[in-house]
Amino acid sequence: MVYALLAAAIVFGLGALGAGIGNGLIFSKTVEGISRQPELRGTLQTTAFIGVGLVEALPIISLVLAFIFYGSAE
Amino acid sequence: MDDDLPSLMRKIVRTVFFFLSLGCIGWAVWPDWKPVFGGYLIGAAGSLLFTWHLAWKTARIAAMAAGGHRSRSGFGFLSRAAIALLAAVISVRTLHFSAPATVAGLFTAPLATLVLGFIASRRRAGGHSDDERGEKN
Repeated sequence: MVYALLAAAIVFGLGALGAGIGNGLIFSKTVEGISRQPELRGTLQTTAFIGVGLVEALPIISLVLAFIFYGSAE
Repeated sequence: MDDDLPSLMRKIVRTVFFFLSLGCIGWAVWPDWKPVFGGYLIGAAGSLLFTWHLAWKTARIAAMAAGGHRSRSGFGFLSRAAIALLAAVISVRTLHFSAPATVAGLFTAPLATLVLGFIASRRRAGGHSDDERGEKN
């Protein structure tokens, strides 16, 4: 019971930490690039979308896994 | 402006709909595997929803950066996580579908984003002409 709850907390906590850092880096560089060269907005926003889509897949899946662990602990 | 996010999003939607239709066919052909295909269908639908939300947020933040607005805006991660969790709760708790199949379904749209985005960026890089610098003349 306790280990399952601990697993749920660790899997979502570490996933969210990584996603926070990754998202911050991607969007800061994207906004910086767009404000320097607004004509490249289309390319930069597409690249940011692909990057954020990949970075965020992991914590979203880890959230669902944490939910499953939590359910198994009940 | 070379705005290829809508076209990429259209390709992703088409791909996810293709996998959704495969899931429906599997549901119809193999009724014993209904929990697996049902879980996959709900997960894939949830992944499509949060990918749509991500595309909308990205376009909004890019428009704000290009327009020089200084308003504060989040990335909407919590909304997307809530969409995924809602899909998991509906699938696993309410309808008693398979949890691993739901997780696999949630991977569909990010995986499609990776593959289609990689192909699009390769095509874009290949489409660049080096003629301007006279290297391939």
